[in-house]
Amino acid sequence: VALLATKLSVEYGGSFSEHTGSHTFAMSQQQQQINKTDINTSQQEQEKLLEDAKQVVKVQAFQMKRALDSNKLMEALKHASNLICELRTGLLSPKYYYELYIIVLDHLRYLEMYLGEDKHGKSLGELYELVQYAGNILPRLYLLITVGSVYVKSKKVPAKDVLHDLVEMCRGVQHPTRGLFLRNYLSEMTKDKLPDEGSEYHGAGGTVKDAVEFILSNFIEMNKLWVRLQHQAPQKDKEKREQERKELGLLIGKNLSRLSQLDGIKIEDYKLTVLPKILKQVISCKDKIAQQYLMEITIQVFSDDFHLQTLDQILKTCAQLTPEVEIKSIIVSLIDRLANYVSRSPNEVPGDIHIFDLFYENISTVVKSRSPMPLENVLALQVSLLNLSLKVYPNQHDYVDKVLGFCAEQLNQNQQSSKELSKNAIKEIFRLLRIPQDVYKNVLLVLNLENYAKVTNVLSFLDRRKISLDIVQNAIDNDTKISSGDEVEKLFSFITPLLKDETDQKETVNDTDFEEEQHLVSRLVHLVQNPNVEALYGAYIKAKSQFDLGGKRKKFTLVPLLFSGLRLAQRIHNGRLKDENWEKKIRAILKFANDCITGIKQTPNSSSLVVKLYLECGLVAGKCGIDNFAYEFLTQAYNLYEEDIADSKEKFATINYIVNVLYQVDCFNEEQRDPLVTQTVQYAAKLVKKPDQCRGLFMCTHLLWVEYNDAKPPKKIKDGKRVHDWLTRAMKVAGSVGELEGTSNLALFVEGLDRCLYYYENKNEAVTTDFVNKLIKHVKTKIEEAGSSENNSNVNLHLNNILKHIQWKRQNDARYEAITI
Amino acid sequence: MKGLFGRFGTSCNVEFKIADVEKRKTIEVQTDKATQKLYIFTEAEPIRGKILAKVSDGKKIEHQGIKVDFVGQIELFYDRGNHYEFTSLTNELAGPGELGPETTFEFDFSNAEKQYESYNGINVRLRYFLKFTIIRSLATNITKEQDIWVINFQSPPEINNSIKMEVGIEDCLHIEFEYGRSKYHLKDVIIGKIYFLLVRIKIKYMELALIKRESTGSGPNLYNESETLTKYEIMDGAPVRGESIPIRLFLGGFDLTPTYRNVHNKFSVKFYLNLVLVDEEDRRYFKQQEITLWRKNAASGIAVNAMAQPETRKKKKKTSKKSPKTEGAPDEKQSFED
Repeated sequence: VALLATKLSVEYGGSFSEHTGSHTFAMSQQQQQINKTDINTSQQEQEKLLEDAKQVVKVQAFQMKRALDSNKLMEALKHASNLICELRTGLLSPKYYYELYIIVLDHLRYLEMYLGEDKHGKSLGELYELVQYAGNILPRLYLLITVGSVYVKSKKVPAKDVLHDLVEMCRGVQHPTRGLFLRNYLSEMTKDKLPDEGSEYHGAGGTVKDAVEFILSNFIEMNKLWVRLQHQAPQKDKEKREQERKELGLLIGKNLSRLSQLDGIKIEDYKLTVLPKILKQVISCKDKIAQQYLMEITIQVFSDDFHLQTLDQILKTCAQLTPEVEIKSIIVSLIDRLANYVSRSPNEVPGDIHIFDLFYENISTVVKSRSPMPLENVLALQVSLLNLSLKVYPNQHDYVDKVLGFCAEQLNQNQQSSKELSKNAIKEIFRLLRIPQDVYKNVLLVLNLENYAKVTNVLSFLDRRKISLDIVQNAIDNDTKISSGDEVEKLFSFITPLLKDETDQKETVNDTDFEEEQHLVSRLVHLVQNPNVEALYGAYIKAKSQFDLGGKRKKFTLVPLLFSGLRLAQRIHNGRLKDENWEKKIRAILKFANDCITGIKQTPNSSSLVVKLYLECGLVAGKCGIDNFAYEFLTQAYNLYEEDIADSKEKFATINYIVNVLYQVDCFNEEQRDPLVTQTVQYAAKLVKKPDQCRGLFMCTHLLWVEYNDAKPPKKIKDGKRVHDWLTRAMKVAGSVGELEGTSNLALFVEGLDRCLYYYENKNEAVTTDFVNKLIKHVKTKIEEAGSSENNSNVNLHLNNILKHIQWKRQNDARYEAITI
Repeated sequence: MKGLFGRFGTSCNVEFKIADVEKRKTIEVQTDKATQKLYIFTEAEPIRGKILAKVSDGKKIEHQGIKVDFVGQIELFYDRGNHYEFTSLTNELAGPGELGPETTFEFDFSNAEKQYESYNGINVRLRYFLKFTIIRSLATNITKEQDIWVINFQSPPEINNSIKMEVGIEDCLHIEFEYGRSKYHLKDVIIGKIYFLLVRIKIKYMELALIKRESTGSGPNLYNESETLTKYEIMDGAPVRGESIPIRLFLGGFDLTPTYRNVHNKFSVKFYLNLVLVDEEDRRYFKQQEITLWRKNAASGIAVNAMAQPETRKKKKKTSKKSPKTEGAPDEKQSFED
């Protein structure tokens, strides 16, 4: 510090005793006590102060207007000055001050209009000097601005000169609140008088450069005042002050939006002059509220293409902001803006701007330079970046992976310091993981991202499960084809929480959810598709090896896999003419199917399911002509039926199933078939409930009366005699039902009649006309006995239909004439 | 006796008719009696004219001679009655005789010396006047005075440096102020700037006072009178270091005289700019600087630029060794002690 040449003299207390010299127009000299800065008054007091001030303003305004109306300029100026003097108060909080300010401005507008009308006989240049005699600076500057704006409007002076002068003179007000409002007045009064390109003030009045300089200068000074407002309050009022400041932020931000509205600013100017100056101010003010707000406003008001060209500057600035600034939201808003912009107009991005790299590099720097930045913020930034890269570079999957990699690294660091993930952080992780799914609409592409799993792995079991479900659902929704074992392996490796018990699984999933989840997984099997059977089979094998680890899940997952295998077998069989190894392949698949069943068998309560699966396998094996496999499957089914099916309803249903399968399989020779048929009839005969027995026998009759035209060679099984015997036996059973339970056997008789007519029609000679007639008569008698009631209306209907059928048959078949209705 | 008394009672009406007054400027001057409207002369201008003397009632006045004097004198109020004539010229108008009912005399002070300006101060007055005298032997002389007002235009000062100074109170307040010039003409504008180099007090406002100091007499009879012509607020609120505050004070609106230094060894009138900073405890920090005022010939144009501004001085700031501090934030800790 230079040695002080001279000391200032100091005087304590007191004020000048000398009388004041005369001014060109007198100014009120209520100077001394007014500038107190104690605004810690209650709301009531504030309102009172405001009321008092308003009263003074009202009186002075009235006198000013009266003076103006009688063309007494000097007197009017005196009153104008007096009313502005009310703004010199330091007692009002910004909110109340603003209210007063608005009122004062309203009156000044009247003065402004008068000055513009040229009635006063003074040149505006003279007026511009005249108002500068005001002894107090605040009224002086308000008046100067008022006159100055009229002066510019008159175009008798270059706008730039007045603007420059005004903005410089305003430096005299260093009090934050008063300065801010004064400068806001300056800004408002000059907003339509800037020498912007296309403006009437352009040219002689200056260039857009002057306009920019003016606004920037005002902006910088206002920001400094705004920041200072914070530091002039006692520490205890910090929060209140912050709140007030936030409300005032608008005044400062207006300057930036005004800049953004200048048509004359070209991108080069913006890049080289305007933005650097703004950012320099933002950085140097070192105030969190200002930095936060100004960055957000800057991003908000300037256009997207400007941002594109200056990304580097803005992002580098972010790294230099004070630690309290929440830069996440700043960068996020920038990224989101640009992402939208670029996806709207992709051709606007110049080739030399690599948005992703710029953001990626700068965000990394920011995150590292500002640690510890909350993890959730780091992640949120990356989420935005992810969105950007997906929107702008949809095909650059490596960008997405880069983002995930960065996150994985951050997450690992977090894990190493064994910090819990916050709720918000988890939310962000979910977004990181879900967004690529949603955008790619192909989980396989997502799973190709190397770092995807690394991010997933930091989640807890339940969260991983959620992500797994998303993946599965996504695959299903988008019908994503999985075509190889590798893909199956990869996909399944991402959804292990759904496939097996996990070591960190503390929570149990409730049964409903579990079932839903497993149904979803089972639907995945249908997505495994490939025209190449070997590849497809390989994929099934991979799937099975994963499903095999699933414990109780196998009941859900292996079933669809088994059916897929069976479909594949049929596909091979259909194409057998072109494939000499077809039989080998089908055998392999059938073994695979058998293995699946073995797996399913291990889960509880699976017996009736397994029986059906054996039957299905038998059927397919039969259709493919693999008779020994078909036989084995069926015997397996029979064994299990005998051992494990106890419920009578299930038994009946299973027999139904068995008959169905046996009826369809055409490859058995007699030695194979006979025992199976006999066994089936025995099962039917052993059913506990008589109606079941009866119906079971009815069904079994069909096993003795069947034509296999597709078999090689085609064969017919027409054992009419045994059909007749079994029908008779069934009728007897039906008869025995009736003895105890009244009409309930009527249905059985009618059904029996139906069957008989079937065989009659198919020319089973053992089923004679006589046999049929007897049966009809018997049924009719029984029905008459029972009389008509609601219970047997269906039976009647059935019978009538049968009779109608017979009559219809009579028209072209003479054999039916013999049947008596 | 009647004649005698009548003579005594004879009144003479004297009227000065100064030549070429139509174009002459006038000034309203507050004198002992009343406000007078006086014609303004500059140093070299001749004072010519006529004097019309009317003796009432058609009488005549007998006299020992008639003359008119041109007098420049300094009147010190503490020394009433003791006037210092620094110049005196006489035109003899008539020899002894009688003054008729109406007579016109011509006078001509072409070479009248008027080196000082007329001045009407608190303790001193410098005046020029014409004094018409009818000398009589028996009765008191009949006299009549007519003041004129003299101003002197000066040529612009050859040397006119700025006033620039770094002042302060150690570790409390350091400022540097700069007034563009040290010499101003009366309709001039003072342009200046104040830099705050260090601010550790809570300043409430800053003002610039224009002070006029009149000194008269010497030794035990030295009288100083200060008069604040204006107090002009130039800053509201507390600045932080690095701020610079503009000054622009128009002088044209004030009733000013040029600086008078030691006029005839009798008095001086000097002007000062007093820069005052007031803190929240109402302590006043001030620095007074003399400025010289001079009278510029109005004919050469006195228009001032209503937007004149001090030259920006940013460059110098940058070369200063101090690292630029945060622009908006205040100094680390504010200590309000001085």
